[in-house]
Amino acid sequence: MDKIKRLASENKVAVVSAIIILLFILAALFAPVLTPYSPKEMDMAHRLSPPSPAHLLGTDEGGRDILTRMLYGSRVSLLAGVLPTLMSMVLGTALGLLSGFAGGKTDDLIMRIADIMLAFPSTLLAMLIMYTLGGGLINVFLTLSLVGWAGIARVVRSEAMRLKSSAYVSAARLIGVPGYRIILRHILPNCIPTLIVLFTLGVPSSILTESSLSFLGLGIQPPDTSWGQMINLGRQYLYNAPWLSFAPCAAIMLIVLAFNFLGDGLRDVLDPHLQDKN
Amino acid sequence: MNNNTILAEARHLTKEYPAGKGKKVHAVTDVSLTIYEGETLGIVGESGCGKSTLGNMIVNLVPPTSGELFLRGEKVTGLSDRDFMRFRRQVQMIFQDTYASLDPRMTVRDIIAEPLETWHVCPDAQATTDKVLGLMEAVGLPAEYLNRYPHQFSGGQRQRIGIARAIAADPALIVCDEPVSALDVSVQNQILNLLKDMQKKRGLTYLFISHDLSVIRYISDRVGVLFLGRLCELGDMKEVFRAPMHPYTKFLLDAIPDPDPHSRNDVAMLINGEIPSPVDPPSGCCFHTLCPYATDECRAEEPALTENKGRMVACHHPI
Amino acid sequence: MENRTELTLKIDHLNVSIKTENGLIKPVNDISLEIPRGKVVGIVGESGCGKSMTARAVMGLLPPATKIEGGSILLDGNELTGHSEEQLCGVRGSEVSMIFQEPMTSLNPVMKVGRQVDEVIRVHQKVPLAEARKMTIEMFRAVGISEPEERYECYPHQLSGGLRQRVMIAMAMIMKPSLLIADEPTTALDVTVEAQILRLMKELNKSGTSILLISHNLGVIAQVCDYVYVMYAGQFVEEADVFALFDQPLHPYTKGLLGAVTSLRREEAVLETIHGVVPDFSELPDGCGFAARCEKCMERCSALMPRMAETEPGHRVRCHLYSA
Repeated sequence: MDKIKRLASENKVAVVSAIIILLFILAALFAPVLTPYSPKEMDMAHRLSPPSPAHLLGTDEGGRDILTRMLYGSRVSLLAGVLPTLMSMVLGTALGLLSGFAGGKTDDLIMRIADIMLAFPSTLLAMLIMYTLGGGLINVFLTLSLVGWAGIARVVRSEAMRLKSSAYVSAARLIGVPGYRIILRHILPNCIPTLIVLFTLGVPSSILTESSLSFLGLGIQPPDTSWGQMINLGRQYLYNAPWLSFAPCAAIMLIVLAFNFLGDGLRDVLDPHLQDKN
Repeated sequence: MNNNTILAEARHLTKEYPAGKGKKVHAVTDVSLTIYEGETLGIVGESGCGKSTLGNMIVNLVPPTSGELFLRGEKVTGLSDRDFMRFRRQVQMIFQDTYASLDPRMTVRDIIAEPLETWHVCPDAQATTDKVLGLMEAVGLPAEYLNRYPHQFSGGQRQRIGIARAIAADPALIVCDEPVSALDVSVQNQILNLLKDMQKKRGLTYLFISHDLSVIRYISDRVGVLFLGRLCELGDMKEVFRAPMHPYTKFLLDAIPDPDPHSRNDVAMLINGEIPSPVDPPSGCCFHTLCPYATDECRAEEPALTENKGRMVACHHPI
Repeated sequence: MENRTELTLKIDHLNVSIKTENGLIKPVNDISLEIPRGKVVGIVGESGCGKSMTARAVMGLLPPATKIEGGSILLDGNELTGHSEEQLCGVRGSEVSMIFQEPMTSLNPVMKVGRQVDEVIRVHQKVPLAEARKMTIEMFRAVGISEPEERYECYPHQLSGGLRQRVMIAMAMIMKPSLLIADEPTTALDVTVEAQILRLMKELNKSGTSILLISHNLGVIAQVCDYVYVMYAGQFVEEADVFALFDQPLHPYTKGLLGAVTSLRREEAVLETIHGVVPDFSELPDGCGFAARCEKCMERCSALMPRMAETEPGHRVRCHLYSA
């Protein structure tokens, strides 16, 4: 708790970022209340109209209100940020801890697989999996989870190796604490600061990958929508109706930056070395 | 205090680490020693002499490259982790770095309770907490600190937590690896007194590792001097300090700055030159490059640790 | 004027404060100190008593958020406080220089040690590189570095701790400063190497350098210093000639420190200790900082700060026991 207080007092940018993220989440939750329009119903009379009091961010090529589409799209984009990141974190942490603590052949096997995963550009890898699985929300999430774990496993492994050689893990081994308990009681809890930071960095990258996939037409299929897909659709009208792409681009940028700044702030507060200075 | 029951025995313990390019660090070479029940055996030496590695081998944290370790007459070297479990409770360690040796995310209660829980010493959580409180009292920690975290304590208090954890499951042998060298002088003494007190009350045996001869002198019954991974002198503490036989022991004793301005060390001989690297130890006696008494015999042949007037010395020309 | 230059360093009522979350603290509180030319003066105290901060103030190397609040520092009669960083750079290294506890962290790991000493010369003096190299190698020899030409080409990690400290001393002495400040110079070293470095410092002193030696180790102080200041919680609590201090300590803290020293010659069943721990600077009482740990604490001790009082010529103590 006092760490959150310290974050609040020392890092204003992180606080603003947290508020922005919270606002996005609230907007996604209360989308139907916040807008009178439907995200799917076409209104050909008002297609491609520029921002106006009735349509604050203008309308798209089907006459749908962009703000409304943004609000509903944020549900997919935010979920695409959070859920796959959580899943890849669970997978990556488990494999990373195992790899770092067990060492030897187990470590080699897990890390070589991770190497292969990391050697592919993540978008390319995601495209390959999406081609195989086909489009759709669930498959997008599954893909994103499979793409993210390797990096996390890498970081958790090195953290586990560092902690494994620490004096308090030696002390636990001397006491006779079994390996699995050392992992659960001594190593995992001390990885949590790192995991929180990895999470805040993983969410924006997941949002971006989802956007890229949808932009390439591999992700969310119409009439469902996400920010990436909106940018993709707006691309054709970039010259005569730039607002189509502008709003989702800005939203992606804002949320990605917010998560990054929050992650930086959290890292500073949770870093034990920086704490020692106080 | 000294009886002649052997608690632990090391025979020809050797530890080598790979140093790249096919070379090896000879951390500990052919160390044999006996630890008797109820005594404190001090191990003294300068940085890089292998004293910590020796301690880690004796608590079975690090396997020896060769040599054997016996606990209460049973050979424990080469046992699998599972088979060694019978002995695990018998040997504990107190560490130098009081910060790194306590899990920062555990409370004092949980840290001291860990050995009790691991060995099912107490029937339930309440009994465990009671036992933890008893241990805290024994090491001089107020009961109200029960739920505090390590970083809320001073170095001396953290070492008290470490001691409470080490004695919790009633071990026979405790290896103390430089337990006071990170502490201020006045706090050092508090911890040393506590260790001596604990030994008296609980019949503990200590292997006490330190670079500080004055600390070793206070706490030890017998002392072993390590140089470059080899035991060069081992014997009764008072005798060794009164009349060192190995030249290196004498250099060590002479080098200590005496806290008395009337006896300034302006004439005593100092070691001149660099201590050889453990990657590339000299031929023969490993001290010969620094020793003023070295002869051709010393350069050619490594002296064995042999008995000499009631103590063990590894020198061709003992003083 | 004549009288002034007798002193290499004269610190007068120096105060240093740090802004922290818990308010303003004073790690250096009304410190006065004199180093006569050619003498070794020691400051002894436990970790966190403010002894390093005092040294850093003289060097103008205070960490950010610290401020000199008043007082003066005279080096060879010249005032050092209130100068800009630029002016201090000229003084640092040439008139006063400093060596630290951990020589590894004070040396640049990717630069040959010889070059690092050359650099010091060339900052203060316009000499060609070859000339600087010659001076460096000569200095290496003077501080007892064997095979100086080969050591010149070494990187810090290739040297042992003792050799690194010798390089640091060479670097500190190269401009022949009138004052050398040594902050725990042997704490990180082995005892046999410590003895070598202490002997080297005595030799440097014999050839005319004044030394301010900061240490927690009373053995080191007893071996090297002429005059000693005992520091506790940001203040000097006792100052005396080294023999007077070790033979007749006055302040209870000094007595406690000396009693706690484990000597090879004394034999004790139980070691003496000073009860309690060093107080935090933010929790210091109005009165004597040692009051809470003192066995002879009186009523006025925790309320009233004792003044420094002279009991005998050159022997001063800050304790109510000795103020009439």
